[in-house]
Amino acid sequence: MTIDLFTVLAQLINFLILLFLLRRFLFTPVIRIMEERQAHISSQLEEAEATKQAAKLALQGYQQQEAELANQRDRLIEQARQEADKTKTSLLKQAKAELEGQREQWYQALDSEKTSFLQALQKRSSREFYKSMHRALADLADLELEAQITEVFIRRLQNLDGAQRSSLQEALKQASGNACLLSSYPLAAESRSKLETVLKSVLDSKLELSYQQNAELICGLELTLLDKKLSWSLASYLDALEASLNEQLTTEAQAKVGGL
Amino acid sequence: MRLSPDQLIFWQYGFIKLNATLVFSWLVMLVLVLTSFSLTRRLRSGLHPSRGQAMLEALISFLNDQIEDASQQPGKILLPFIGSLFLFIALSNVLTIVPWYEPPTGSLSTTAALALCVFLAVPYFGIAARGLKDFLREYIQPNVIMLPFNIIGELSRTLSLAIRLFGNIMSGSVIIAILLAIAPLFFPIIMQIFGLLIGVIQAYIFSILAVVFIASGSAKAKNSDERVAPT
Repeated sequence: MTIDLFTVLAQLINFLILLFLLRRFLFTPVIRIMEERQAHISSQLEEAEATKQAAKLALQGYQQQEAELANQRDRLIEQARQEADKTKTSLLKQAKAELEGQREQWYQALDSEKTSFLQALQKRSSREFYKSMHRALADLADLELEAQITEVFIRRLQNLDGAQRSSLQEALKQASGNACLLSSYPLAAESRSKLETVLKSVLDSKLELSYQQNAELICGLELTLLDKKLSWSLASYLDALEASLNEQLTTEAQAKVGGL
Repeated sequence: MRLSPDQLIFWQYGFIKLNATLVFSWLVMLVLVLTSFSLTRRLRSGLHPSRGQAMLEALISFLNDQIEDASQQPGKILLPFIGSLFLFIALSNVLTIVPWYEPPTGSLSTTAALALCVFLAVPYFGIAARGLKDFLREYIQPNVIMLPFNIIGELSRTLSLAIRLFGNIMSGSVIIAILLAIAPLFFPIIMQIFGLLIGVIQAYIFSILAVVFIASGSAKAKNSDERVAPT
């Protein structure tokens, strides 16, 4: 069990040679390959991380776009709703206006119809009333109705107060003494004479009286001096009747409109 | 009966001699270099290496991890030196199953040469890592009185390295030789299998101790207590 110095030196050199050779042919290539693989894996991991980050960013971008689209959609829906509301309000207003117009037209038509009806009724009532009165007066007395009307008119002339009389006298002066007497019926000569005498005595003796017949004047007489008039007829009574009928028709029309 | 392959001399010219230790060392070196060359010729850096490459990389990774665990330093610096030591000793021991083979590690000259390599590697890596002044200062820690003891410690651990490996391998060979003479049928085989295990373990122990010695010389210890005691 001795140490051989030459063998020790030779083994020392042998080991150094082996160290060099193994370093050259074994450790360095294997370590290099392992490092390359590690670098490759690291780069792949980095790439994967980068891809992940990019995907994350893309996802964020998509989410942002989605949110923007949702906002835009909500905005558009709100805008459309507002426009629809506006249109609805406008159409309702228009429809109301049209309805109001139609109602106005209907009222006008109703008024017109009512007026026409009242006028026709007034005429017919007057005629009927006149006929009835005529028959009644004829039954009651032997006097003609015209004579009675003339008598009433004469009494009215005679019962004029001072202011009315002076007003009529003034108007007569302005008309140069010309006066016109309207009657709804042909006046008899006796009636004309009576009327002329009374008028001259009440107003002026130089009075020039002319006679005209007007069917519109219902059962009455009317003295016209320029713009001044003095009359008696059944018109006042018929006016009261007309007012009553008018009121009745208005109430009925309002009830109909309210029911629509 | 030969106790050392040094005693089997094939050729001699004065001081120079060609003994079994050198011849079988060359054989081991040749096997290692050729195998390494053939294995590393077709290395691929892809994610699917060949079976041989995977085994080679697993072995290198194992050595690297062991060095890093023992030294607490990056293993790449010491890997070629420690790896060469381990592979040489392990293959030298494992090849004892081949008939007429004499393990070079059964020679005290070889183990002394390897221990000498470790003895020289300690200052080499220590100075490289810490600088000459810092490295030498460790020998007078905690004071100058400890200088001879530290030097004795360095020498004794180198000696113990050489003797441990030589003793284990030589004893294995001697036991087998004795058993061959006493019971030549079964026991030598069992002891040879046991010797394979012992051989690999000794290679591992030698390498790890070398790592520890080199690491203790390279590491900047805070005080002398942290130095690894020689075994």
